[in-house]
Amino acid sequence: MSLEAALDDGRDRLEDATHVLHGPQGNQARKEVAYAAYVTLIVVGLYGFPVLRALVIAGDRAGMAAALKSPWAVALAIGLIAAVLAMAREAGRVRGPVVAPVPWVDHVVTSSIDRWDALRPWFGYALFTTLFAGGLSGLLVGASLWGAGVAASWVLPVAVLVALVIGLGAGTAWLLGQSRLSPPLPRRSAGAWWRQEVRRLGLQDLRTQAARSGRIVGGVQAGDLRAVRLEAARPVTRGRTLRLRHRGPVGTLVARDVLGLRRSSGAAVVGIVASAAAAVALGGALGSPSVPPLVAFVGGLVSYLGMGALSEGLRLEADTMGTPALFGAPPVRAAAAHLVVPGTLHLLVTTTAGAVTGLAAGATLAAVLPWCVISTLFALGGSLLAAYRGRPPTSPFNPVPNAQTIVLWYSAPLVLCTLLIGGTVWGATQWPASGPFVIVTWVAAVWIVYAGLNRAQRESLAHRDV
Amino acid sequence: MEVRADDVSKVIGPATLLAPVSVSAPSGSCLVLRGPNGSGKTTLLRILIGTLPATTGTAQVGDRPADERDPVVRAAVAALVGAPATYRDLTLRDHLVLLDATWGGDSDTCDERVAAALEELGIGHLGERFPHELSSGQTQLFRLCLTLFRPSEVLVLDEPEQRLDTTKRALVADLVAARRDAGTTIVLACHDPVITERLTGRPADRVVDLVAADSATERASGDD
Repeated sequence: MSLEAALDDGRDRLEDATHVLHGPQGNQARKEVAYAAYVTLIVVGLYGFPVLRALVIAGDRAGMAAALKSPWAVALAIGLIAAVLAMAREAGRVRGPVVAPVPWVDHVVTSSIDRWDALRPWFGYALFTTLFAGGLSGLLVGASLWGAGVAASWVLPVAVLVALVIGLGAGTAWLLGQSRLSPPLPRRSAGAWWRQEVRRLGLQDLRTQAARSGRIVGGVQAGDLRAVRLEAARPVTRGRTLRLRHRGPVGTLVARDVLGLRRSSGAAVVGIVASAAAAVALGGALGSPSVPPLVAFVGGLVSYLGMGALSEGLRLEADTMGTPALFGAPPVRAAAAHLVVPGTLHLLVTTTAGAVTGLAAGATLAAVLPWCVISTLFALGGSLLAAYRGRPPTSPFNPVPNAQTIVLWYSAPLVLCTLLIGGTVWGATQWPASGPFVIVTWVAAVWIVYAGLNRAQRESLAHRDV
Repeated sequence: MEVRADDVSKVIGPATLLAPVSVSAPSGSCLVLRGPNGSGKTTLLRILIGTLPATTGTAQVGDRPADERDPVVRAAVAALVGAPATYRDLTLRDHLVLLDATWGGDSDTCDERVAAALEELGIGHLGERFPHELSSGQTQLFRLCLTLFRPSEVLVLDEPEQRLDTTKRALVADLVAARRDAGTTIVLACHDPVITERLTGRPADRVVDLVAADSATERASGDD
């Protein structure tokens, strides 16, 4: 049989397989992807655009317009694009763009049908998704800047075009991240480079990613974040010769977290950089009245994320809830011990970077330092609440939580921390000498840590099945 | 420490997971639960270790109700029922060191005891591996090692023979028998005749055959 005849035969067999699986109406996945895009477009139009435009208007528009033209803005944009590409490539290792269902991989991709033909639909969905996400992001940002009067109308098409290119670049990095898991093909076949990359995908990697994707989706739907995290996290292989030493019941837990960060140095770097960036934003907001309040809230969000990157030990401890007792530390004491390393690192970075920025912006140390300490306490409490969040809430009327409930439940600690840190810093700029405000914020900071520890205690008691 | 269940059963909705049953394991003895799939062996073990409340009847560990929320019960019972949560960024050796520290082990002898515990189960050469780098059989040995290493007066194992070769099954049987001989109460669900025979050779040891809830119901109807 000639190559052309074999390819034609393969396409016929693919059509037959699709007919058997989906009937005469064919695969409906394309319509589902289009519907998801339609819903996203409506949500972004209804909520994303007005909110972003309002935030831009609430900020310092003149300052923002000037900042957009500065070399710093260009450098920041290049840095962000590089980060997006790097993350897309890393994501490809975990869950690439070409992920067909496991049965399709087992029964169709394993056959002699050309691998590009067998996987082309999923390549198409991913390509559409990246282009749509890029274009929509550009449209949102461009429209918001234009609508707020920060930029001229020409920004809109330029933003869409640039974002489309970034989306395409991210899609390429995503595909390369996946295809580089498999060894190169022994010889090049005909066709464009992306076809070569898809044909390069090995059966084992395709199957692993398909199964992992199913488990991640299942974990998200069930609110089983441990399963999601373990599926998505890169396996630790570094520092195996480093050894944990017995330093007493609490000291060993603290040493465990130090060892964990040494073995996952990427997480440590991300946590420290994010905490420092957040502290710069908070210090700037505290030191200069020209910095818009929005910056403080973004700083609060990033500060929480930085703490989260440093808190893997806390999350792993929380994962042991509901399993037969293996380790002997009481739950609350263990949770508190796991706060030492992330809390100390976050506090050092936040106070240092925040104080330096605040002083450079013209504030006194006393006007900056307490609020940096409070932001660390808020982030610590938020990390505790997140680690011990348990299972999504259910009720007799809603035994299976819906998507909105899961999103709210999952994002609650993040939103709480963002509002508390951002609100505190904003309040500190409004009422710097107000005694009641100072008392309320300290009480709130201590309360959130207490609430987190209390949550750990309740989780340790409440998980028993009924 | 005695482990006892009196007339315990478990029903969830229309499903009977465990038909009413009474079992006991006196201090320093071994109780082996056998039975076909679906007869409720794991359910009974979960009731005995206090992670699952019984629908009827009572379960006790020593003189206390079997409830793992009780710190005394947690301290007394070491259980391998389902996969324990392990730390993805700790090696096998690190896990045992952490475990020893949290139970207040002697720091001066910790390293030697950890090495010995791994060697006992034939995984001493895997001490620097992470849990995700083990085969399924090695993972089972590691889980058994964790469970055996923590101090306990009651040892509960759910099918410890899973994924183990014949040699390792005999090794596990010897280790568990040694624990029983040292005074630990053993309760395990097991399908392996070699392990069962090895662990039930003394007068106080017992084998209990559970029957599937449906069969129990049918039998009860027949008796009527």
